[in-house]
Amino acid sequence: MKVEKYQLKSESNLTTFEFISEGPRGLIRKKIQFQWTRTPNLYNLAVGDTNPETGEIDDMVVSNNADSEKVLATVISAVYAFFDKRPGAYVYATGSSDARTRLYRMGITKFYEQIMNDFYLYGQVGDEFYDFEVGTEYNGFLAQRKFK
Amino acid sequence: MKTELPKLIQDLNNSKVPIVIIDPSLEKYRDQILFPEKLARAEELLKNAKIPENKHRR
Repeated sequence: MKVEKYQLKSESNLTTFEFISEGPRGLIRKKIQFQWTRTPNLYNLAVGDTNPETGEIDDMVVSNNADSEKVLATVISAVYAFFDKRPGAYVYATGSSDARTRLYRMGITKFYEQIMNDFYLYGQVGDEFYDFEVGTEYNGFLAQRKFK
Repeated sequence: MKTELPKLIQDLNNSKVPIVIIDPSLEKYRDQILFPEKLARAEELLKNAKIPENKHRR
């Protein structure tokens, strides 16, 4: 599946990325961060916008910039870059609300074939992780890179 | 004769591992938690979670 992506910039450690979303609402500077958690070798994936007036990061905003598929493809490409540097790591993602988590699931479903080909992917129900299945509701998602 | 720019764009669009520009202005974010609420929510959901076997340590 070939989908357009935005150009990614990063600091040298490849944990914080930035790209610029382009759409009807103009240019929106977005940040992606892989955050170290208390669980060893497990990073939380977080995405948000930079407020152009204050410079602050807003993780609750809905951009509505009509480029969600391109944004999603860009975030997934950042995941590849992150794993390329840390092949044994886990990446976890959950939405800032249940509705946002459902959006994540829909996004994963859109890129399902590519994701399943390259990642071990699990869905969280309570404290358990199960192999990801399309159509199942999850609280969060956990990925590890497959290397063939 | 092909120019360099189309080749770069083609590489960018075809590669799963993207071409990432290292931007020194982003270094200040290395040790900064940009989305503390998201990290807190993740920590809460992971607090008692059973993490699957690490496939790279078999």
